[in-house]
Amino acid sequence: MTRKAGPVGRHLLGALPLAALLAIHPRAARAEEPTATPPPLAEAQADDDAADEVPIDTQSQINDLRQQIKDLDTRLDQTRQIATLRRPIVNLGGYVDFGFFAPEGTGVGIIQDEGPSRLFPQYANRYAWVFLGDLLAPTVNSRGEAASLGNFPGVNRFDSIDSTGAPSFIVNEVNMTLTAALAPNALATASVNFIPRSGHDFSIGDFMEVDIAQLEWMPTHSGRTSIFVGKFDSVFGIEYRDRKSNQRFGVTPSLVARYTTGTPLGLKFRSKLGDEERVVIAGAFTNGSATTEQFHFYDEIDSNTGKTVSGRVSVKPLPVDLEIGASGSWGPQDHALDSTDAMWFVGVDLLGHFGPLDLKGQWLKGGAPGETGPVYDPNHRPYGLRLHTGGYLELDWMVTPFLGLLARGDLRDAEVWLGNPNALSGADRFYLTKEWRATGGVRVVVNEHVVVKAEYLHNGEYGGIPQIPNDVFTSSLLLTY
Amino acid sequence: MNRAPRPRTLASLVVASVAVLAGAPCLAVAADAKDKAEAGPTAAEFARLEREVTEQRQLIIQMLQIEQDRYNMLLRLLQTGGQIPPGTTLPPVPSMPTPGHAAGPSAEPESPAAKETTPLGIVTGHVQARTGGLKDAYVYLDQVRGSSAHGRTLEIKQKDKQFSPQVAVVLRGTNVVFPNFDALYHNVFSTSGRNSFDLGAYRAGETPRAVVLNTPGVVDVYCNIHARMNAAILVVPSSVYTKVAADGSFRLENVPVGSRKLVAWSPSAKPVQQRVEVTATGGQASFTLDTLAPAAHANKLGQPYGSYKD
Repeated sequence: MTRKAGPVGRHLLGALPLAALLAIHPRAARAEEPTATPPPLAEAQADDDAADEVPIDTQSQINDLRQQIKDLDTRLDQTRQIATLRRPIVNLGGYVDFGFFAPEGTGVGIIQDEGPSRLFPQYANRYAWVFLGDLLAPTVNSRGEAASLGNFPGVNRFDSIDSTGAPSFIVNEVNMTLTAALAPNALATASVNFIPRSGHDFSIGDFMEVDIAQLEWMPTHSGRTSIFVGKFDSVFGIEYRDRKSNQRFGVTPSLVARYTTGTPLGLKFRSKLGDEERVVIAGAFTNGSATTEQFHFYDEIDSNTGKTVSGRVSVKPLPVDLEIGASGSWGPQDHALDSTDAMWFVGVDLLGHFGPLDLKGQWLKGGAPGETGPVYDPNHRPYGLRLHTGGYLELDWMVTPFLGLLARGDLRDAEVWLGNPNALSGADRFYLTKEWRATGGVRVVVNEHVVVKAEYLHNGEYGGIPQIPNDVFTSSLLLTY
Repeated sequence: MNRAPRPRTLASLVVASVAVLAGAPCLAVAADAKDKAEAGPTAAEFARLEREVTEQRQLIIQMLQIEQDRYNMLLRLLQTGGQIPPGTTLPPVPSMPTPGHAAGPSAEPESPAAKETTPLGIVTGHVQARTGGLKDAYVYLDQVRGSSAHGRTLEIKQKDKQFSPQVAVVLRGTNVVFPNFDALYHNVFSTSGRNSFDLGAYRAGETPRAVVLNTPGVVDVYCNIHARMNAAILVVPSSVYTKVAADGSFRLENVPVGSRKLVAWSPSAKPVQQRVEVTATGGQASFTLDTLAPAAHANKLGQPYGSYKD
């Protein structure tokens, strides 16, 4: 007997296409080739016939469906367990920083003050060589390497880039970072940089550098206190947080990064206190200062028994995301064989996040007496330093999620010398720096792994130092993995 | 007149469809998983399997809903004097939704039919913390299976390196989306049991997939890039839940009469459950919660975040 479908029948018939559609959906998604997709109706019919063998009691069907959900959940749990158990202990990450730069002039940041028309004759009698400017001002990358260090008398430097003013492509750094969770509250980190550079006289110029090798232990339940041992980031100021190319908004470091972004060896702690972590205290006990290794200071392995103590306290006094900090460090001079004379730094900083805008600023001063005795081991001669003032103010603005702009102003007023200027024979050399810098940059975030950055650095001199043609255009293609 | 074959045909089709959906692919997946058990699943395989299970679970739930609709219709036919074939016995209506109280944006409308058949009561009481205060505390009815929140979507924004809202209560089956309004990348994830998910890294303007939270319980949500970002989502099994007032009192309506399990929860405290005898005149319950000290959480790989991942 045939009859037209009633309301129930129409409802049921209406469900048929839906069920058929649902039935073919996963298979269609899995099909790799068009011809592999089975005819949906035929398959639905075959399954329909097969399904006739199962009980049609609806409660049983629902129970069957629930059982299938349970089975699927069980299978998912088992798979998750397998994935968890086979989770790698060590994670490997890092980046490749490929760049292109074009310096102005010879790419050298200093000039020699010499001859009868010298500009600063007051130093002539005390130092054999006097230089004006800033060796590291024409920076081309996040490592702080200068386009060229020049060929000046009295010293044979490792000029890692030595572009002599030519525009050049460069692989700034290939970084490999290993992290391993040794315990739920202990993390080991090692960061290794590979730096390909020009060789000379049949030698390869490439070198490598271990800049982080640390164990971080978080002894408290909250995880807000960390104790570090090894070679780690400094606690001075804020710039060390984005000293690496993959962390830095722009390309180059500030003029004072050389004093604060080194990675010393020793012990360190940091603790975040209060609601919203409004107070952060950090301290370190290290071989030497937090200066960078390529500068005149820095002790990787200590040559004296005294150690350097440094610390920072920061607060967030306002309900906005603005952190204000004060830092200081004190310890024996780097490279000195004894702990008699101290090198010190003090500074203040601010760091604010205001939506797409980041505001960063730092000011510091410091000093070290250098050589004060008559005779020093030629391999352990401490440099003297009078950092009268130095600092920067930087504004990073992500205009869109893809495009960011950077503006930074830098200042560095410092004197650095080698030798004892009070000795009868005088000192070796003297660097007088009165430098300012204006930097404009752009950042293009292509995707999570690819960032393109470019900067133009205008370096200017003041205080009687003539203008040195050492502006730099530099760029970076950052590939993170 | 014989109308039995039609429901039978549909039921067969439903079962067949589910078999196609759940059985055949899963067999393939099972075989695949067996083959790869030696090497262990890759992240992509794991994500694929998880996605398939989620899809299949959704489809099965849709099937259940279709069945439920069918029976509601049949029930209505019966109640309105529709023709019933002689000798045909309607299957019992499955015990599906527990009627609820609309306590939040995701609450379900009550089922009139169920309301007529299930006596309901009101549970009142008080929630307090053993030490300190409580913020965003809720009381909900557990061990029931209400209607799921098909098609309902909750949006949790990521802005200024924070989730907003940071606490949410949703009915099981709710879709949750996490749009990024910051000019930097976020990677939202959760490792909370069956509600685990990992959306990968994305930025403003990119739309990640919605997450379907099907399993009742607490879902802790984090960003794999910024350790300080966190949110807590309570997935409730039915719409019978209520927010605790500032003075600690609560009033939970539409609780089915009988011995019922209630749970008090706050993101800053350990949840406490209690069995309550609910009568037509109501019930009483009071909870004392132990507040939790702030605890560090791991990233999506199960590792500590390390320095300055804020």
